[in-house]
Amino acid sequence: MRSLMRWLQSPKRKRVGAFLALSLFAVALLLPLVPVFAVAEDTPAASSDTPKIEKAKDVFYKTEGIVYGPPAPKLKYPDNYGTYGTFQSRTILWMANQQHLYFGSFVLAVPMFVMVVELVGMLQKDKRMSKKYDDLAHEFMKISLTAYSITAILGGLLIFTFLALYPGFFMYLASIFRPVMHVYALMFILESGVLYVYYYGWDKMNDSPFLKWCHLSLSVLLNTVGLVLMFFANTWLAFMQAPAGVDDQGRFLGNIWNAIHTPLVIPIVVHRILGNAAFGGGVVAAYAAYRFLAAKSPEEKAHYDWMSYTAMFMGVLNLIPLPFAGYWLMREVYAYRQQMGITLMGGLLAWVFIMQATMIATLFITLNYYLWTAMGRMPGSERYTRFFKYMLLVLIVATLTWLTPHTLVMTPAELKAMGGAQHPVIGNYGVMSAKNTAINIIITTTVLCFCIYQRANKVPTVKWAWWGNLALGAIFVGAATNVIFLGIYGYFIPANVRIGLSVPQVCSTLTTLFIGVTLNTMILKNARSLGEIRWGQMSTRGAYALFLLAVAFTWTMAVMGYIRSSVRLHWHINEIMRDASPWAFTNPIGYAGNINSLNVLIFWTMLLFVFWLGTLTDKKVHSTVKDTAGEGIEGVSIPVGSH
Amino acid sequence: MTVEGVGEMQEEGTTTEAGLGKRIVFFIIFLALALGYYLSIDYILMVFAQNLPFPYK
Repeated sequence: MRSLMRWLQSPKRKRVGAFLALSLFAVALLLPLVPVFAVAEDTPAASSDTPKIEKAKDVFYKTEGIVYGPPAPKLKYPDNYGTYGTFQSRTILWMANQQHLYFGSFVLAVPMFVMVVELVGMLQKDKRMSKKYDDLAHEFMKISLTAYSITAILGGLLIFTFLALYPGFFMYLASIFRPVMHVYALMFILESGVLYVYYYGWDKMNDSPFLKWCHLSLSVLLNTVGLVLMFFANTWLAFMQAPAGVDDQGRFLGNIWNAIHTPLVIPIVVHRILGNAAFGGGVVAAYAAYRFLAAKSPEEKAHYDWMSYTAMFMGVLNLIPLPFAGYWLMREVYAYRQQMGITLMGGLLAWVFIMQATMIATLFITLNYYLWTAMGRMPGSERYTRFFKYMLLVLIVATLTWLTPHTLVMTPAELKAMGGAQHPVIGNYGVMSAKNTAINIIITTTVLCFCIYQRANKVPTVKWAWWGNLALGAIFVGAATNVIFLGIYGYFIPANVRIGLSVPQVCSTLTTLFIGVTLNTMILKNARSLGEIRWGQMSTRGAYALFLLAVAFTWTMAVMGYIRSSVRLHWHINEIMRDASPWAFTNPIGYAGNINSLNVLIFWTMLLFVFWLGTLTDKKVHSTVKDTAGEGIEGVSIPVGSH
Repeated sequence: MTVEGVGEMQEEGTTTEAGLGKRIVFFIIFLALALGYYLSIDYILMVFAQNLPFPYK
């Protein structure tokens, strides 16, 4: 008893008390979920008392279920639609959706990075580096916090737009997802609570290792809630694209899990998590590049150069698997409805995919360009400079192959002159065999570029370096040979066998990524440095490349979102609920491109405001860099991934 | 990088320890091994994972 009293009087009690208060707060935030789950479970039981029971078959799972809801209403224009003057309601909703999605993606992605950076900081043995990472994580979070408010505002705007312009559709969707919509709203409150405690409690919880681990746990909680939020939002759009849990009239069959677990939801969720993370990395890198360009002192430049590299690196980690997740999603689309796949890849929207390919190729070329430029600040990189032009050549050839359309839009005279819609030579590159090969070569080249970046200022000292280098070369050359071989082989076999070749092609590329980078890292173990990275001495072109990278991410998201949404054609909910509005047609590519560009412009204008706000409160960020820079900028230690 | 840097690197034998012929021979051996690995992965992924004929007959 006496020891307990002594403990209560100890200086630590305040911290423990604070921790308990935080835990109670977190539990209190979770409490509202309990009745919602209870209600969700009770509803079917209560309804089962109704005397008349009608059964129907699930439109996707083909299982029988009891009909719980009314059929999807047959909408009429203008009765079930709203308008604002002569503006296209669809375009207004499109923009509201896109803006909310941009900010939502950003605020969900940044905490993932922050969690990783904070953990890396905590695991550092060097206290100076530990603080440096911690400050970086804190700064990431600061940017995210302002964006979070904008996300919430845009979310409100989106709901009002739905209610005002598409009330009939929205009410039906809400009737299906009513139980989880409540959970979604409550999760949003939980997210806000955890976010504010996490951000504002940062300095307070830095005092002891125990509290710091609690702080990191809050980050885990924050990310978990964020992912659940995103999952719910994704289930609604996945339901619109490929519904399940309802019968062919759209009547809800009582099993909410079937409506959530629709045929495309998992690949969409995976693709979106990776996409959001890549996008978030790109935006933070652009923020750091902006601060790098605006920085006046060498210390500030060093800090933001390092920050932009770290953010870019994290974004790219997610960018590399992104195309594969995209292929998986497309594969599932084909499995769900072959016609939907054909509309996407070979029909109405095929040209939009060419735009998407242009943007993704731009992303990879820009990324390589950034790495080449960034090597300029690494002593010893001159050894590799002469290879860059060949890598660029490979990237350009692969990009051009990827962009080659299968058929062209032409006048009858042009058709006659060419002998058909398909060009006799370059038409051969407009098929999936060539395109899969091209993107795999682009990614393999990017991985190679990263390996070169890793060793730019290093000389291997391990005894087996000679053998290791040969093996590394063989891994890359072998992968490229195999990818090209499978690409050519695809021309000689039937389509149903050919489509399977994309899997081993991807595997070859992933081999270079996982085995190649691992081997390269092992070769560079205890390598002799030719000089520290001169942070802050990156050329301004590198910073501008990061802007391009971020804008390309944004534009790619816009165009991909447009493709995914447009593939429903004249359906609000595919094959269940028709879009009866006058805008139920597929837009011309030019119009879609303009709206996408406008969305990108609006987003970046708002983001510049967020960036500017970030500069207003920025006083202490560089204190640690300043300490380091006291020993000269070259004394800035090398962060994760830069080797 | 300084010129000395290149010199040191060469002295350590990362690039000039072996003759060009030896490097080519060993590279071909490694490449053959790598291609063997890739082709076996192709076979496994096509035949076992996807139930598709590889090579197609």
